[in-house]
Amino acid sequence: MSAVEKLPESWSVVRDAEHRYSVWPDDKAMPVGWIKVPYSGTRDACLARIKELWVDPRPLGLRQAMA
Amino acid sequence: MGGSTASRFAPGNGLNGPLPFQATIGDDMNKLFTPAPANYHPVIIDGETFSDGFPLTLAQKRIWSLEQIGNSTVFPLQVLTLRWSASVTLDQLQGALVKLADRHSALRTRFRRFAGGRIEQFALSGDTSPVETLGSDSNPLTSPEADEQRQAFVSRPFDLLNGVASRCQLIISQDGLESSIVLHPIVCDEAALAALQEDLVAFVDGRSLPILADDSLHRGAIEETWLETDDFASALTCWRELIGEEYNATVLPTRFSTSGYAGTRRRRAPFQLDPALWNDIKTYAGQHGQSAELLLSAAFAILLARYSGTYTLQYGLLLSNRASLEPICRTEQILPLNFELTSRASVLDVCQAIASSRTEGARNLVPYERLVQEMQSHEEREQEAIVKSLFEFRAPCAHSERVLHQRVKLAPRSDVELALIVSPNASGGLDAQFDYAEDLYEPAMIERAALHFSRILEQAVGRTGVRIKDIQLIGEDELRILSAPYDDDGANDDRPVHEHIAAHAARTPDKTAIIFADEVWSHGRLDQSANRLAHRLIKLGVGAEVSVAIAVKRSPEAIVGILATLKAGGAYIPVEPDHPTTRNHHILRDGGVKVILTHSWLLDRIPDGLDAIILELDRLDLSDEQDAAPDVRVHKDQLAYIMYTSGSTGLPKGVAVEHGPLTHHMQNTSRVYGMSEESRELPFLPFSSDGGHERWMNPLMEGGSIILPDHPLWTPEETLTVMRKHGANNASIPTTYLQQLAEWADLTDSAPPMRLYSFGGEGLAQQTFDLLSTALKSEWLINGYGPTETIMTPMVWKVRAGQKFEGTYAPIGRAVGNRRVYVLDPDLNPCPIGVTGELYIAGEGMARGYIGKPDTTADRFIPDPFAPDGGRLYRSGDLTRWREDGTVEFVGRVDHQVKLRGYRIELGEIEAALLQQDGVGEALVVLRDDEATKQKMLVAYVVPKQGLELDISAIHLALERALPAYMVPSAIVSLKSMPINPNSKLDRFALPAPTPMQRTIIEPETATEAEVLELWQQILNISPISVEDNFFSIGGNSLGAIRILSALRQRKPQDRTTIADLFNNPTVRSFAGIIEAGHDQSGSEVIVLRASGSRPMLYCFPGLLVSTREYVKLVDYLGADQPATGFICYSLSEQKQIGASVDEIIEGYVDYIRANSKGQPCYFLGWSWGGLLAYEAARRLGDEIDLRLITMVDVCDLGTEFAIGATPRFKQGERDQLHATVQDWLSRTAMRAEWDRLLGVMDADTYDQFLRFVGDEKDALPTDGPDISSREHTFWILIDNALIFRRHQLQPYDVPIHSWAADDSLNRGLNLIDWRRYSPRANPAEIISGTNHLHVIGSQAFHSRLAHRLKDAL
Repeated sequence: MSAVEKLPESWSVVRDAEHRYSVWPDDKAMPVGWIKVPYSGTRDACLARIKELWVDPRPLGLRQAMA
Repeated sequence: MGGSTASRFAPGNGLNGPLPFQATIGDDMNKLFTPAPANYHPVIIDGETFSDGFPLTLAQKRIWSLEQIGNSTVFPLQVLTLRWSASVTLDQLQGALVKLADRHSALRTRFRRFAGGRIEQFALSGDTSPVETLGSDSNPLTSPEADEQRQAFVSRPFDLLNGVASRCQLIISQDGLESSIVLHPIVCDEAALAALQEDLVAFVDGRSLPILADDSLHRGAIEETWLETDDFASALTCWRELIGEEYNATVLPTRFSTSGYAGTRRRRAPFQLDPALWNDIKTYAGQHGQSAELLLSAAFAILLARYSGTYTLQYGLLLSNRASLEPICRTEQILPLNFELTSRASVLDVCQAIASSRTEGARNLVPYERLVQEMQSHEEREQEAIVKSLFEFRAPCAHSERVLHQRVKLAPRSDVELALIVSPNASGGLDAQFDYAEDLYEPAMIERAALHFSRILEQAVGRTGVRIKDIQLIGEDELRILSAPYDDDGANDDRPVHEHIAAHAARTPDKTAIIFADEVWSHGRLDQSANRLAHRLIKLGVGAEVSVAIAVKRSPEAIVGILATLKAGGAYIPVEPDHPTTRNHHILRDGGVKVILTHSWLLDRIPDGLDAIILELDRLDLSDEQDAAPDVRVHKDQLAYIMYTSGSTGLPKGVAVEHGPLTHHMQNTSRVYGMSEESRELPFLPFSSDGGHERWMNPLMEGGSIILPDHPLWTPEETLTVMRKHGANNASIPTTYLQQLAEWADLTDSAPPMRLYSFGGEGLAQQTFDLLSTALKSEWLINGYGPTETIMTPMVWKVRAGQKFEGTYAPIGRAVGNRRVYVLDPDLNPCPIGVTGELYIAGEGMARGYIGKPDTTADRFIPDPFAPDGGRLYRSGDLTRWREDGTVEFVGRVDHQVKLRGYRIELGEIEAALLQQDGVGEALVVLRDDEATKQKMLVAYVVPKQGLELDISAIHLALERALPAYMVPSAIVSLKSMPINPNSKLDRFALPAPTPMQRTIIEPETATEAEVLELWQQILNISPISVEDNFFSIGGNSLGAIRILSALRQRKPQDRTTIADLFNNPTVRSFAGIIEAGHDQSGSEVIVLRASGSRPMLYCFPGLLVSTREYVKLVDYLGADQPATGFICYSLSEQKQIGASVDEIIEGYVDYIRANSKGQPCYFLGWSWGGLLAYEAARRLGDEIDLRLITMVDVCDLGTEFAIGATPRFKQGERDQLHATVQDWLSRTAMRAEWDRLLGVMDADTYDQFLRFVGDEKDALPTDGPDISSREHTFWILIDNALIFRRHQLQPYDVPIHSWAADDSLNRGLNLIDWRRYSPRANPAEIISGTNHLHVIGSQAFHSRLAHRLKDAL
């Protein structure tokens, strides 16, 4: 499947309430519960950005509980 | 194939081609049956002169052939039924009908068949269409009477050789005046029918019409001429470039169980689009400068793309191809479209793509019948149709006040797998209809496609700029149902898994928890041990988000270690001590392990240099630690375990799972599995898989118990004994091992009574599932599925034993617990049921992500667009589809699909087929394209089950039967084991290239052997040859055999060996033996194709120049139990005499059959002219044998040229000139003696026919004889056979006959014989698509249907 080459160009880094990160295509309605982090580009570029951003893998609730 | 443009004398392509001899036969056969096109000679029969006749167009020839073989469903009758307003009188209508027939010769067209079978059409000027009038004003018919009369009238077949190709009916009933005109499809198509209506209305109105130049009868000749032009040749070149050799006709998903072969049964699914939508479509189209028709066409293209998942589309459009002022005739054409889209294309982009593809195609329009012939020219492989899906928009008839009502029947042509017709209806909406091959498509799927076609249109016109990917086919409600998990009303509590287990220790401390060899652990002991260790771990710093490696073998201690880690608040990481050190090292480092729990004897397996505390459980003194549980509160988001999974590339990845999702998953699973404190489970799954942990946690959480295997290699006998001894009621076992267990249980009848088996880990075929069902005697079976990332077993298929499923693998069912599953396309749009897409799992039940890999986590765990309150979707990488019942079926891995020669191939499907073969333990299929293979080819690697040997050729044969030809691997390589790299992963680079078989060369021992060997080497041009080599497997063929014989004859004039001797003794050694012994006694024309088998003997009768070698694939297909004997074509046998009759030819066959099958049941098979021989032999033998069935394969009647009574016509002086040419040629040819013999038996009329035949040929008479491969020799054989068959008249005989026709023969208009004219027990011929007269005998589609028929006749 050449699914990837058919993906649109523009993607955004997105984050949910527990500060989990992912990517989402800009031409598709934002899923409930997720917000855009101000970074967009190709899908790969967004994933690379997430590598920098998402340093604590714990969900926000756990981070707060352990703090 | 040469077609009509190639030379009639063209020989085969010599010894180099794969089937040279057959190519020769087919070429000339087809030409003999197809009258030479450019030179058309009207003929006089029995002295009676007819008016001028005209040849048929290719489309007409096809329809004629279909009519010949009794198929009237592909092209239905054309019917125009109109009810007239009261202002129209009967007289007016009758007058109008006369004018109509006068204007359009189609209504008066007649057909005649010449001796030998050529068809002409003609029309007489005084003729009319017969009119039947029923009822009168004073005595009108009742409505039911009128209905009944009309129905009978419009469905009555035509006899085209008797009367005109149309008829009319006028009915005066209580409802008024109604007219029906019925035309045969050979003279009229749908668009012509609409024009006919307009003209009829005009005549009724008393209007006059512009003068029409009616050239309908000339179109055949015009077409023939055009097909000879450069214009045609260049149009054809454009098509070759556009479609290419490796095309892929777009289809909707077919039924799971077909191999793609469509039978003749059709089914229709009518539906309607309401007027509001049709208006919106027209408005939208108008606003964007498109035609509404184009928009409908675009909706069909989008439907195909979304259903097939491919955006390179190839399908057909039915063009009416009709100008405004044209006579009634057949003009419609299937226009293949081929264009590429992406899912980002807007609906208007799609319109554009279709429009330009259509314009381009129309510019190069060639008759579809001819195009198919030209494109399907591959000798070697079976060819797929160019067009499998067809769209037709049928323009509405013009409205007239005179016509009150028009009965419209959307009767489509049904020669493609699936067609959609759309046409505006009287109520202002659209009538639409799918017409499809029932064998291929699920009716329920077609119904949904109809609904989705409407949805596409609704959304397409909803707003401007809608893209394909924006269109939602699945409604929210439907999606909710499809994605839903198993019903589960129970409530979960939030306590973590270890607290559930501990609770039973408090309540039933003495109850058995674990049985391990001779050890029995109670719940109390387990809990106390875990508590003590937990206290120690806490002291060592274990707590939230701290990981502990469990590096011990599967044992109660391992479970203690796990529970202790959880109680301390830590996360456990199972590490298999047996796994390679490099892998374990990576895990221990990557997982940030703080403590390693192990045994002293495993210390050497623990990598050095780790910053972790190692606890040797066997040397650990925990007597100081407390028995009571530590007071540790666990947060729901805290990690419970990290499970390492093999990544497809590189090092294993750690999947981190939290307590909340884990405990909820376990509680849900308990309920779906029906676990209780009574449960005693044998968990056989390894601890290195997360499923292995689910299966011990579950019983212990419910207060039940487990029987832990003390080593991983229990024999099936041991396992069943343990289960019985300890009273197991549940077992969870990897699928492959469970299969062995079932085989053993089946053999020994030793299955203990069980409530439940759960299994999984790989695709499960029906055959295996049936075995599990019957052999294991279990109440329930659960097929579990799940990636580690979605926690253990997120999906299950829970069924009672004996369940049936379609498809390659058992369904993987539905989601468990707080999850949903979706089958989505690459744009994340839900796929309709039956459409393949990637599986996504949503909901709470999933991992936190990958340890230390935020980018990979973000890549695989994506936002869930379907969740009302946020959440993530896990992308599984598995291809699946929803089944009708909403459960999910596994199709294959996303990255496991390859493309070869234009086919999308799922390697897993081939592997599954391999695993079903006897003795195959492991299977792997790869697409190789490297130095070793030189070209892209599928190579299969198989590992036999322990102690077994594999019969590779039997496996290959079985695959040919089970899979479409393009999926059968080119080579199957048997390995002792699959090569493994240090990470325990398959090492693809270490897979050996397939090598040609090593042959041992055995030298000749006798002088005769040496002589034969020398001949073989010389003629086959191969060296070295072993005296044990099979003639055919080293490249020998019929032609080579004949050359060897003639060379042998030159050396040894006394030798009497025959071609049959060589075929029956196909090695140098055995053939030399026959030469020495004098020839074989079996007869010179008989080839034993398969000697043994319990079924009735199948006698195969030869077509022209058939040596019986052609039947080998067929006999292979029919299998070991089907004996078969072939007769060699008379022309190839030694006893041939000039001018023999059919009766004389069958003499030898009849004697042989009588001697071998007298009173016995048997079958006949006749291919090509062999059908006539089979029929005559059957007639001659009568009751002497018990003939169960004659199978007729593309049996044609003789061509026109040599038919008795056909008097050729010559131009002035032409005959003399041709005679001179022939005489001159005879003086030069080396075959003079043979020709003289042949010409000597011709009477004057026949000689004239011969001259005509020569004159119609464009090339000069050949003089390259007498070599057996020469054009001249082939020509000689052809004329010889023509003389044999011309005198033959078929007589009726009551015998069961089943016949088949190759699609290409219909396109060529060959004179196929309708056996129903001779036997009351014959059927209309079935059509085998994608093949021609020559290759049909090797076509798998034909083989499968022949096998079916033979079985029925048993």
